[in-house]
Amino acid sequence: MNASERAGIESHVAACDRCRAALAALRDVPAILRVQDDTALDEAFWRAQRQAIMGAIRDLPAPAAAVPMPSRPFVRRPAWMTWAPALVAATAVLALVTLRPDGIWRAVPSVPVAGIDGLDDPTLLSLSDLAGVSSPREETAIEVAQDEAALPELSDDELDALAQLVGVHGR
Amino acid sequence: MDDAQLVAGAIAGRQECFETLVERHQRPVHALVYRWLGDRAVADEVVQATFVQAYTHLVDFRGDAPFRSWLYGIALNQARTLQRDRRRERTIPIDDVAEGDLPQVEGASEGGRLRDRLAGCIARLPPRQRTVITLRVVGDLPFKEIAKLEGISENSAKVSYHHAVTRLRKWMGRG
Repeated sequence: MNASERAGIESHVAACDRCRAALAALRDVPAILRVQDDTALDEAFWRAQRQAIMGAIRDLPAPAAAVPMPSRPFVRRPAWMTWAPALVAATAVLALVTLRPDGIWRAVPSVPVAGIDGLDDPTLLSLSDLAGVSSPREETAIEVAQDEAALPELSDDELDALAQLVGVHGR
Repeated sequence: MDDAQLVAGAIAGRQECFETLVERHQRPVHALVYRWLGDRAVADEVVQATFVQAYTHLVDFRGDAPFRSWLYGIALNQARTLQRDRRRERTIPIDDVAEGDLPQVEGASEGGRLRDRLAGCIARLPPRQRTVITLRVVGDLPFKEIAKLEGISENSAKVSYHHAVTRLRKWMGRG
């Protein structure tokens, strides 16, 4: 409270019996309580109390110094960092559900293998282009071995002739 | 050396620093606890427990409030715990106690009798009011510190103080 407020209150209290009594009440009880009566306790009492306290802590370990935590400067993160991880996670989940082979939302409908076998090369290439497949499925070692086993025993001349027919040179 | 330096010394293992802190604060802590409990012998017990606990938790003293306030907080918690453990008897509201049954001390001076009677009345105040008036008048803490210690608003502390004084005056026959 500033000086003018205080002066205003004091002038009011001087004129108002009720407020004067209330103020006296507020000062009265604390004034009694504030009176120190420790004089009844002599120095021997305080010394004995001190000795009792020090005796109790004498065998205690020293209060361990707090281990200082490495302080990390506070860095305010940009707002997008709060929602971006959630967005990335949601996208990943959606992609997994959409693109898994037996998923319900397959991007490319499966074509029966027997049907593929019946298609000629230009048709297969066209389908591959449509499906966005850039390279034909790689043959496994077993499939290659089976195909080779199916080839009849040909002479070198016959093989050269076949190579020329399919456009492969210098086998 | 100020309190913070003594605390640092005690943490470093110099018990003489803690003894200086005890010597510096044992009287005000004792006065506070005695006024709060109204029992000198129990107050002595609480003061000893307060300083032992303060020593073992010295590293928790952050220095953002005076050491004395921190000690008062520990002392009042000790007093509450001890009182809770000991007080199992039935309590009677002070308003129901006859004037002549209020605490009296034989052979004491008029001032001493008045203080002891007041101490008995304070012991009957509701806990919040008792704590606030004791911390304010005996502990000489500002309302802001009292509010922090008790986890209440400063305004709430002031209101509790006013109610305590009004009630004490009534009980003392001064209201």
